[in-house]
Amino acid sequence: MRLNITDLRRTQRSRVFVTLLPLAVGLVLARVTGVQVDLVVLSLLAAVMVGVIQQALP
Amino acid sequence: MVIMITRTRVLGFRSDALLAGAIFLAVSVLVAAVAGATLGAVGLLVAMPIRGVVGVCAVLAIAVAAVSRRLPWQLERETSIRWLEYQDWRTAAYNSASLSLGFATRIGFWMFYLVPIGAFMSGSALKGALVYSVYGGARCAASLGLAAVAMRSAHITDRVLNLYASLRTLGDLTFFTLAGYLVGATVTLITGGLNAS
Repeated sequence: MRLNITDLRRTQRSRVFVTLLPLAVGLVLARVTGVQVDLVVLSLLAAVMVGVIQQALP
Repeated sequence: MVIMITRTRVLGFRSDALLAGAIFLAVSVLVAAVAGATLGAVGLLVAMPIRGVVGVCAVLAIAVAAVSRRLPWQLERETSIRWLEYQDWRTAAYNSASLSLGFATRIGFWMFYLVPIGAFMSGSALKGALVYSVYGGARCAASLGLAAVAMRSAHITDRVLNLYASLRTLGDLTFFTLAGYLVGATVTLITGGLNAS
């Protein structure tokens, strides 16, 4: 039981690092750069990346 | 997916791989371009402040779901095995059409949702077509590349599949960074526009 709680906390902590932290970084970047990057360029970047990494789909 | 491409015959011969690959890539770009143009055209119909709000709400809703769920909302299915029976150009065409839309089969990565949202938020049929067709093209070109390598080394497919867990973490990191930027940039654009008017 104790092990499960430890695992759960570890999972939650790592999830925060993967989700909320990068979200905050993105928000700060948008404010700091003053929207230098076009939203279409951003979408193109996501499109290429997700298209390639989807090859690993089981 | 790799099996589908290697089984494709256009003229009925094993040497059709190049032509099959060309059909695979062309159909993927075409189908994705139509989907993207449709989303871009819908975005065009919605005036900017509202379009921005809709886009930001969609990104935030997906981000909230992605915090609690590792797997994205998706249809739990692959491309149809029955398409292998055609043994002609339809195997390549149907397969690539299904893959290039993204949502017709398993998605696997939350980041995919930035493609339709980006196409919609571009507010232009041309830009929407560009965004979605780049996704369809990248997905199918990468499949072709993998299929070509798999013909020489059968283990490559297993190695790529083993990367899934790591790539999902990388995908989540990138998705949330881009989502944060998209939300921040759109809010800045909307509030800037409102202040100017």
